[in-house]
Amino acid sequence: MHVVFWIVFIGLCIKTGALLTAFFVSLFVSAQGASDLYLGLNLSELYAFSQFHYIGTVSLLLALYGIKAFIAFLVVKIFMKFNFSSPFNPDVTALISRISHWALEAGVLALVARGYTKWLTNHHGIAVPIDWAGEEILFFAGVLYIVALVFKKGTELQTENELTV
Amino acid sequence: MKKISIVFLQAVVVLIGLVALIILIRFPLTEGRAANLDLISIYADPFIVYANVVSLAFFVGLYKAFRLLGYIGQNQVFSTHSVRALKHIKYSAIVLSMFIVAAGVYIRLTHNEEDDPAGFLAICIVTTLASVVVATAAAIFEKILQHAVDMKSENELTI
Repeated sequence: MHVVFWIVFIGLCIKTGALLTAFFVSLFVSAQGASDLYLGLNLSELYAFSQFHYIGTVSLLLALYGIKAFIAFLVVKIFMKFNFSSPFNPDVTALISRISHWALEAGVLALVARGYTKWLTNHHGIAVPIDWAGEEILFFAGVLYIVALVFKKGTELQTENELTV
Repeated sequence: MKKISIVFLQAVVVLIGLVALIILIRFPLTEGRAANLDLISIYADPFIVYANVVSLAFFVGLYKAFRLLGYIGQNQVFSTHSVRALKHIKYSAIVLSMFIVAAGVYIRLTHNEEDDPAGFLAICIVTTLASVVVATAAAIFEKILQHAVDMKSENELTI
């Protein structure tokens, strides 16, 4: 699992870095770059319509990818500190709570971004082919919040147990 | 806050179940072969029957997830009920993934030469991966909860 999450983290970093590079290329080198930002993501129509909205949309996407990469990094940190013989410890509990908060922020950001791109499509007829998946991230945040609560209770129980002579 | 998030997650679980049920009922009717068939012939197709039977494992897993959330809401998270619910979720996910793999292999080997099974196989791969992830997560949490249950019972025995 540790190795898997390192791979996920590195993959998300590469994804964010590639999108960031393509974004800068499309802004400062050639506008052609907007037609294939990352894995066929074509925002050339949006770029041609308004550079302001193009920067806004890609910034939101970059922020979302950045948060996902950071969450993967926190998961890697959990696996570094996790011990199956005594799974409940304050560090792991704090990390899980932190992940659930970041996931909630990512979910809200994805919903805002989806609303923004929907507004662009409805009011200006600009298609933005991005699947923000806000609901899925929010569901993930909810599950993590419950896991964090369970770990908090478990940590209290384990501390109590360790204090008992 | 805790209660709200648990009710929210339970509602999401129910919603997932309803959507899955609607897909199971509606999807066979929208297929091309359904155009010239009556209702019984549509649903009596062996592959549709197989899909419906296999989906039982999915619904059992979903029901157990709903129950597990209920236990968490009732402050019974460190109990044998929760561990058992997680065990059921794990087994449901394993059974589901095995049956999906079997369906994928069957379609890969027996599909009509004019048909392209790539889409179906892609769905099989994705759903199998999702089931394996759920089974792994459930197994890890089962182990952690079992540890907590042992610790709790040890704690309760200490005077």
